[in-house]
Amino acid sequence: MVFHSPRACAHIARQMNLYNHFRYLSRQQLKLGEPKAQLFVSNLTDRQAVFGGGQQLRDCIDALVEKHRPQYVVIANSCVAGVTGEDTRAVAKEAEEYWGIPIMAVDGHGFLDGDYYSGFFQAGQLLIERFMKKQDRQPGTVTLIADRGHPDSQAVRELRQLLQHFKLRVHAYFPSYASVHELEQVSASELTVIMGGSKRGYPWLKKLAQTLKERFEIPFVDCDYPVGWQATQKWIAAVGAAIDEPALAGEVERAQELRLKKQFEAAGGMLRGKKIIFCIGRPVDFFNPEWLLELAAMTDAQVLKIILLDSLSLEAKQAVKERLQAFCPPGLIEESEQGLAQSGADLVVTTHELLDEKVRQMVLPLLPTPGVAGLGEFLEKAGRLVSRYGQRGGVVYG
Amino acid sequence: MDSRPGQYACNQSGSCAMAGAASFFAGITGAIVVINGQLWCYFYAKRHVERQSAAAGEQIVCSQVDGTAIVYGTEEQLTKTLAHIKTELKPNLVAIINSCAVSLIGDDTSGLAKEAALDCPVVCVDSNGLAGGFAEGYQEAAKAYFNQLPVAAPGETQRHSINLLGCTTGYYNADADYRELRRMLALSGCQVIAAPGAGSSIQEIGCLRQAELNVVLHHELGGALAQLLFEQYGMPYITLLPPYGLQGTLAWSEAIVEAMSSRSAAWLSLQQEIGCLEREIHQGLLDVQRLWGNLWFDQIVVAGPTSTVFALAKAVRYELADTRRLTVICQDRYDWVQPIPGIDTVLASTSTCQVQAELTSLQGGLLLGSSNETALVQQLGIKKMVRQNIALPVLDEVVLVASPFMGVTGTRYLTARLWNQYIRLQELLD
Repeated sequence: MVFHSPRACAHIARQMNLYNHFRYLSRQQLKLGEPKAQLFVSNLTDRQAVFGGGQQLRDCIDALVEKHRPQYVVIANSCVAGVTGEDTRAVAKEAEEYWGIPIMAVDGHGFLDGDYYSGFFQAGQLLIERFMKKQDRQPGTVTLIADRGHPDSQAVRELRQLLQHFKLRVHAYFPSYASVHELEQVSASELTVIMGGSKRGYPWLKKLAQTLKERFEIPFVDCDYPVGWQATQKWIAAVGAAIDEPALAGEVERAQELRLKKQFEAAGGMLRGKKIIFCIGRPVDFFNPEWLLELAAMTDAQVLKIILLDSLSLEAKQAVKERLQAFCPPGLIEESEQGLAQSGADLVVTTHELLDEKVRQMVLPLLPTPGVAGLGEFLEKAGRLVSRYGQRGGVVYG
Repeated sequence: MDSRPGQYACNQSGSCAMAGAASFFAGITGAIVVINGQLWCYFYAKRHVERQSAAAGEQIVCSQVDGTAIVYGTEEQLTKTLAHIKTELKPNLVAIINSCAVSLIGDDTSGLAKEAALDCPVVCVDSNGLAGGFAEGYQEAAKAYFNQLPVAAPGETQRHSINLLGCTTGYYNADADYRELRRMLALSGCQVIAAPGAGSSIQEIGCLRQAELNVVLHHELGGALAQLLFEQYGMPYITLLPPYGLQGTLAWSEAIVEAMSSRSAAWLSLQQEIGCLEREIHQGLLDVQRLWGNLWFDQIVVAGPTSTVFALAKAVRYELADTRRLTVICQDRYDWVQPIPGIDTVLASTSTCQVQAELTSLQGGLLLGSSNETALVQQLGIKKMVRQNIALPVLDEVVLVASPFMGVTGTRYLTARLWNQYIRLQELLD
């Protein structure tokens, strides 16, 4: 992976890797010696901003190919390269001809050409174009089209086990974390399943699934990452429909319902009758608030009010309100109207940390674990929080 | 051009020039920093600052420039942001930092700031990300501040007074270190007039010329500023390695006293304190040494900002521990440092292959660095070693107690930490 950028931009990417390192370490999921894409940077400076950075990029590619002999190279352009009008594609083409390995450039230039997901999509498209060929179908195989971290993460494990109930085996995880061998397997999949998780990200991942369908006739499950029970039911039905096994989908749903009941027996009772306040400061493009109300109803908890945090713009607040209207939520108020008074609440479930250290707050992750496992995780953590001795407050990250 | 192998590989995790510039300005009490750029870079710079100081992080806002603004200019977004600052925040100073991309389009940021008619001084600066990292951004910000806000001539110079230059809360443990330095300086009868970028207000910085001497703490941050103030106002300065270890602290304070016109009578108090602690540590460690042996590491690696790593490496080698081989890895330029006997190898953090080779031999060793080096060592499967964070980023430590590493008190903490970890290391069975 080459950043065509100033060195410091690559430091930021390195720092994101560093977070992942410690996150996996803390969850005992760190795998030593696992091959990873190495990060390189063309190191654009004032000089290249004036005279062009094409040669610098080429030197970078030559040095890394000579030393590391990678199977392929992907170049990501920074906004600086965009402003100075670098012809990165031409450099990549020339280097590819010289070295005889795929060397590709993502078209987007930092924030100039869309957001995170557009870059993610472009990188995925490049990999499809360069590594995938039509081949015989391997029955019962699935490719997960995902942006959910490591393929061994709890989220991916949950979807793997759900798919196993349909006798489907995940044999590729695309586009991140995929080796060339895995990339080459993608076009042999019987089905692709999208793990987006947000209104903003899902369409981009769906576009990748559509590309695979158009090129290799691989159907995909057109249903996003299932957070909450109703979403899980919907997802199970969608998988059943995609493989034409509605009866099997019914069985899978019943098995998951049983699993859910066990989760509630174990931890759900701890929330019964508890008073909850929801604080929402994340736009609906990145957050699905319905499942919280669903969960509160399932646990017999009492939702006192829902506070829309001031971090939301006026438009974003309106979008959350419209999304929640169908559920007739109790006391939907804005932070600017009544502040953040949480008196009487046993638990505050929030998208953003609140400054009041006396409050028992559960901070929701950007993307919770899907399926019944996700509900179980929430119940267990929320249960522990409300069971805290006396009046002790504090934060638990969901 | 650096032709060493690995110059393009990125295994280091320094921060960017924008974070450096933002750290300087957010270190001025009452200032508001406007990142005139995209949200992504803003969040990165803000997070860097607020991890060390939540209050400083709150001083940073963003104009939220988008792709269209790179074509048509940032006027709309910046004007809106400045209007919000004027009506809602009422700062003492506004610093506008253009992101790398905005710097390249050449917007007239100063003109827009003038039109906004803010009720306070405004400093505009390009983040300088194409010139380097944190240090370059900090330097550029400091230079812009003093070029745009001249310091008034003093009525008279105050005896036994200094300014600390090249200080930032954007370094690991910085707040605790500065408190210790101020305590020591006060004990030795020396007054600190201002520490630009590390908590001084615009008014305090305005009195900077009352000081007898400028003392550069971190040369990579404050060296250029000291030179600028010398050229502009004739202010004398000295550049010293930061005071780590008791001998290092003594040498640091002696150099300051020597550079001033006269010696304060209180100077002896600091000398006495250092002497007392030296005896205390010597006696306190006797039993431990009898039981656990000497503090020995097969290899020591010290990685971080240049001034910090050289000063710490010297203290470790001369006073705290023994080793077969000591390597320092510098995040910034190090051509200004005189060779220090006892430091076997000096590397730039961009020399990825050589850095990797040094870290590979850390079994049974000591790593003084950041979580970045820790992660690299963990990836190599090395578990039996002592490590202590001395630089950012830090993702594997809780810091709730102010524990300086600089100065007299810092030596106490550092000695105890290294010894306790060394004992834990001996307890690990092979």
